[in-house]
Amino acid sequence: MRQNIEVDALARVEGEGALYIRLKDGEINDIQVNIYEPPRFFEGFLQGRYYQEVPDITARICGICPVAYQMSSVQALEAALNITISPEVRALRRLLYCAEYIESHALHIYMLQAPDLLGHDSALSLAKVAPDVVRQALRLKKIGNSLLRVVGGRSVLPWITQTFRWTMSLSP
Amino acid sequence: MSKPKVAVYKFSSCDGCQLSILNLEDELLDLAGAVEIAFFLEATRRVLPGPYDIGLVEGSISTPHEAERIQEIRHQVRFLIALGTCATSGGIQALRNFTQVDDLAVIVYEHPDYLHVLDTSTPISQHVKVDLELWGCPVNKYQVLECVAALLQNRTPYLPTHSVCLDCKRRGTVCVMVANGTLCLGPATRTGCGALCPASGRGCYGCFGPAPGAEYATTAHLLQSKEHYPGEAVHLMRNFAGYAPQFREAVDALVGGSENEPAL
Ligand code: SF4
Ligand code: SF4
Repeated sequence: MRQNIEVDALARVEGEGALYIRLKDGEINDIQVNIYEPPRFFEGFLQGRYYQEVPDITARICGICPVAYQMSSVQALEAALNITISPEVRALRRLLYCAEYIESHALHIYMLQAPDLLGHDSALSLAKVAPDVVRQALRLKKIGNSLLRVVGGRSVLPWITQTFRWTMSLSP
Repeated sequence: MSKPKVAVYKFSSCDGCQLSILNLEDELLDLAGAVEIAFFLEATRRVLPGPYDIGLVEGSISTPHEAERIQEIRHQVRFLIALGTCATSGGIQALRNFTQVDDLAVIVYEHPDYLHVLDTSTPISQHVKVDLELWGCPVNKYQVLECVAALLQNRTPYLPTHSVCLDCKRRGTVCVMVANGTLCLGPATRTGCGALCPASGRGCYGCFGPAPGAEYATTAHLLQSKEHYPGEAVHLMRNFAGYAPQFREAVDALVGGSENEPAL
């Protein structure tokens, strides 16, 4: 009977990690997850930066879900500075966020997770047996990216547009 | 002839540049048909044994383990491409290079002693020979495609190196600096994005790194003369590509050379 399952580098995850499962008499005895993603110290080097610069920087915490980091930093700044945004800006932000949901969920479901559930190595190998499904998934992902581009300028790390514009016009 | 083997690696990074490859929705399946994706953990768990013909390396070197791993990878890869501004300059996490990493660590972690990190975050080229550098935070996915296509066709990839300003002129964007007094690093920044930020009315913050041959110090002084708050110009250059030597020297020219800290 297999005693150990060791995965030194997990595939198709957002980031990096390793997984070790030790079995004993067919039962799980010990599980270890190692997230070895290197620290990058954002909270540290953000100190001393002007608030205008913050959303661009926090976006780089994760290129797969940058809007989440832009949005949370911008909301934290607004709360700290007691700024109320207009309903139009709120709606635009929601649109930007929805665009990221669409893109990121399509990525996660079809390209990262589905291959595991269907016993495949990747969406690319899946495409050999179910090309139409994979093409449809890629189309869905592209719709999210197109929306990200329209509202945010580009699909990965959408740069701050009108949705965060107060950061440009307010003087410190 | 067997298909060329491509490997994609991640170091200290945000995943955005790898995602740019997966965002080639219209081209991805054709690309996967033209090359053998031999190692790309973000996309597939299938790992083919090396050596590999093309290696795309995302991220900077910021831990002792990464410094070792990049040496192993260099032995495995025939043509190594540094993918994105982290890999070409050290990235945003290279802001630690201007201060003490231990001082940053105590701000973020309760047990900084558990960390295994280097004092600096450095570009791939500081550790191994790099055959091609592809700038951008994130990279332009079509530039990635162009590089791979050029290698397959045995030609030099078309990667222009002019500044962002020229792209503004081409697309008819009114200069944000001249018209609105908005600080813009475009004159010193490498093309590749198509002048995205000025086209939406904001200044460039240099995410494609220094444009070869640009007037860095002159740009820095010009920016400083238009600042809205003290230190704005320094912060603009000490950012995503802040550890690139050209931006470093331009900041040194502004703060007097001896200082390392930006004027806060
Ligand atoms: S260069 Fe920018 S987009 Fe690419 S991995 Fe680094 S932080 Fe992310
Ligand atoms: S204009 Fe500058 S900051 Fe904006 S995407 Fe282009 S290179 Fe990056």
